[in-house]
Amino acid sequence: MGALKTPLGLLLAATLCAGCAPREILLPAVGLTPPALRDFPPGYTPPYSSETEQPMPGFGGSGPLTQTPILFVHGNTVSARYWLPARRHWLEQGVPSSALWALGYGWDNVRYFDSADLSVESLDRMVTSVLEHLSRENGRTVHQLDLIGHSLGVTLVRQWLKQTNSWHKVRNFIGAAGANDGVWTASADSRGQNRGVAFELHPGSPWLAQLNRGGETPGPTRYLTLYDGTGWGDVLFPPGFEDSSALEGADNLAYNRVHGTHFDHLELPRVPETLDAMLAWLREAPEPLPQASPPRVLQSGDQLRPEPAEARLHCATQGRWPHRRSAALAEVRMSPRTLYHCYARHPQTHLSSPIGHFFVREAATGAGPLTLSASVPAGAYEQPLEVALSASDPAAWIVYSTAGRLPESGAPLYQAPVYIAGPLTLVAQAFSADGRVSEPLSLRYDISLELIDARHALRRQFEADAEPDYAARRGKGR
Amino acid sequence: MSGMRTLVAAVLLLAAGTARAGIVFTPHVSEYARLPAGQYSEFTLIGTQIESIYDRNGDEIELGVPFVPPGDSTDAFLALAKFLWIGNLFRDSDWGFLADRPQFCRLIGTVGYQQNTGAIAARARLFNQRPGANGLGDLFGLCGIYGLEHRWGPIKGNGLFATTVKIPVGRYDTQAALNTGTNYWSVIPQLAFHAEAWGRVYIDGTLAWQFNGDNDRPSFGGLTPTGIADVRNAEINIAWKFSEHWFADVGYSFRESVGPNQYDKVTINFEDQPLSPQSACDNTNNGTNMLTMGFGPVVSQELCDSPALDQFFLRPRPGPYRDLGVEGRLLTAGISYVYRASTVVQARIAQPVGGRGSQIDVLFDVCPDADCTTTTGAPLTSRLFGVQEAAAVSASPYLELRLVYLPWAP
Repeated sequence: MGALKTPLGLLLAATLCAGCAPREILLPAVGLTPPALRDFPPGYTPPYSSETEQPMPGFGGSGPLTQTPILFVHGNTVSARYWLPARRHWLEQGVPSSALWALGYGWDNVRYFDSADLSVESLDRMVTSVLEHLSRENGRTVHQLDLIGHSLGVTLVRQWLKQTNSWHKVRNFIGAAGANDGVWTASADSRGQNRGVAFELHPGSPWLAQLNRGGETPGPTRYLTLYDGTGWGDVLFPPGFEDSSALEGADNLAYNRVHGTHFDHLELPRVPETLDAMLAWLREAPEPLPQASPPRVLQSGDQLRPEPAEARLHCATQGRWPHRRSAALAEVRMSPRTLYHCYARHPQTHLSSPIGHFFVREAATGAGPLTLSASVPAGAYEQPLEVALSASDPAAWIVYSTAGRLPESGAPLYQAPVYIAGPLTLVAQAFSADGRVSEPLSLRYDISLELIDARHALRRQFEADAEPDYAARRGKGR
Repeated sequence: MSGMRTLVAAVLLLAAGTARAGIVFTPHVSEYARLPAGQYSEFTLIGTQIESIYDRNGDEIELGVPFVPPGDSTDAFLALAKFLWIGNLFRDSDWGFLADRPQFCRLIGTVGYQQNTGAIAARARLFNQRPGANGLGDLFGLCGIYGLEHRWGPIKGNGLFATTVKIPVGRYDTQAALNTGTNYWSVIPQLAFHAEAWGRVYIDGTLAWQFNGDNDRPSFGGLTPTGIADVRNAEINIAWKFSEHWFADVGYSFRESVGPNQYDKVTINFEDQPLSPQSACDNTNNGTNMLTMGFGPVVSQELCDSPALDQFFLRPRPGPYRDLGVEGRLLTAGISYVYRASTVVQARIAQPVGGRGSQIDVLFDVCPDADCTTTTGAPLTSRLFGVQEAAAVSASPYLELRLVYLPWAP
């Protein structure tokens, strides 16, 4: 064993070094490119992740597109690779390769957790790139896809749908094991670099309240939730959280509870049993006509009507979202001073319009310009914020988006202070019944403990005599 | 004769009293589970008051008794800092076998406090041995690979293979009765498994084989083995999850050496020599007491009666000696609390339920001169305990407090 010392010691040291260094650092250091799942068809260029600023890894397929494409959205700390078993199984079930897509939007490790808010832009790029590629390859506009999210991917998809008004692009959405009503592992007072997702998903989170406000299953999209339901199969949803994944208005399938199975958090959406159930549910939805165009909502005075006339309107008012179960109307006559949220859906083409806000236009009152202000100035903050928005005209409506883009007509209606849980840009705009529209208010918030600490350290260093003004809350958490 | 009695008692006493048994536990909850890729830190404090050990017949004996009154002990505290990395270096590569199986590496550093108490410590000094040793312990490094996860109805499980290397960098004093380092290398391949049933029962088990290197510088007068037997062990732990926060677990551990330990550099001896003949001759008429104390043939009556011998020297024969091997069995019971997503706090107690310690029959020559150019007759035989972790088996309980912290978790 004496000879053991040198070679084994060296081997051990080398192995430990190799093991502890991230391969993204280690391999480039020796001139190698880190391997990644890049099983894309020719002609497809994956978008860059807004989080990692790297091309997204993942898979997709080529060939004629004979059905609505399916885009898988993975959860926290994993990547598109997570969905490979689902891809294999559904290929065996006859789903064409061209219809199965997955892209990795996040860090794929626990050094940096992902977050729903921070990934909205990535998901938007994913959807756009896949739809554009398929449209190009098939010589027609592909308007819709089916989305399947798992875990964090569920709340991510829902936030993307809401912040980008994209329900009309999603025919079916399956949310597996999502924390729609919170997850016990997240805490409201978390600290550290990965606390963003905890701020979003802790039980009772204002972020979730915001996400669920106005209805949990808006738009023309069909919803299926798939989850444990027993409290013991999925460690993230123990007793007390069994039905956190369910959504009001969705087809809620507590798979383990119903079928007596024991699939865990990672197994739930990718074992043959649940994959078969999901595929059957997806296939219940009619395929949109390939060459059709989406309908529109037309306003004429106080009247709304769809175009073409065969389409139907689904409307709700004052912050409630219209949905598939809303009455399908040939026309809607609006009441004054009421904000309507409507979309049109064509029963034959199965395509829909985006949700829009509509109101009866009143005569100009000669009031001054409409202005918009926020209760919290832009800047860096240690803890999540609740930002109150107010317009110079209290009767004005305010819409906002945390997706970093101008709020479109269907953006969420401001009803309560906006909860900012991560570094993002809040853009808001007010409009009034007499036609005035405010300038967009764009505020960049950085919920960054590290940045606060760094600034404080610099100030201590260069302004030693300055009175400390650091009133950060450090009483709880880490 | 009192000197001889003192010698014999001290030898036995020291052998028993300085037994630093290897700290052995059953696996922790989910120790072998396929945990999420990331970094984990773990801090463990183990405390024990060794008041009894196992002899080579498997009998439990109190430390030092009958040579010192019961009540003294070896007090030992061991702190471990562990760093665990789990990931997959071959993820997305073309190496299919490795691409599907995450790898892990763990580094374990130790620091120990070990002191004999009272009369045991005092006796150690009669042999010019230091009674305790504190400081850095050996370094353990291991790497391994997880197997695939399988499910059978409500049960799911995975296996793993790992190899640990013990690097003997710990403090090691050849004149100390206790050491925090071992001065020999070990390589420990192991197979392990983790299973979960109904989401509430967690089972972790392992089979391991510890290949030990040699120790060319034994401590405590050569009563640590120079040729350390390999050791095989089997451990299992079963935990029950009451809620996401509370777990309780019980475990069983078995280990035994494969073959005997070998001692071939025995030098343990009484510091103050020569000894008076009185100490050797008082009981020679019947020898009963001497036999009880461990010696076989005693000093001859002629020698005792010889006016030429007014003093004598003892000198141990260095060996080689072989023991009967060691064995240890223990039960553990613990409770764990999971705080937030980042922290696990655990308290556990381990109670030995059987074992066999290392003992060897060391020959002592009785000589009229310091160089032992001649001897006075047949050598004396003393049954001495092997000491320290490769040889001694504690029969006293241990307490373990453990903190697992995930630095990345919110």
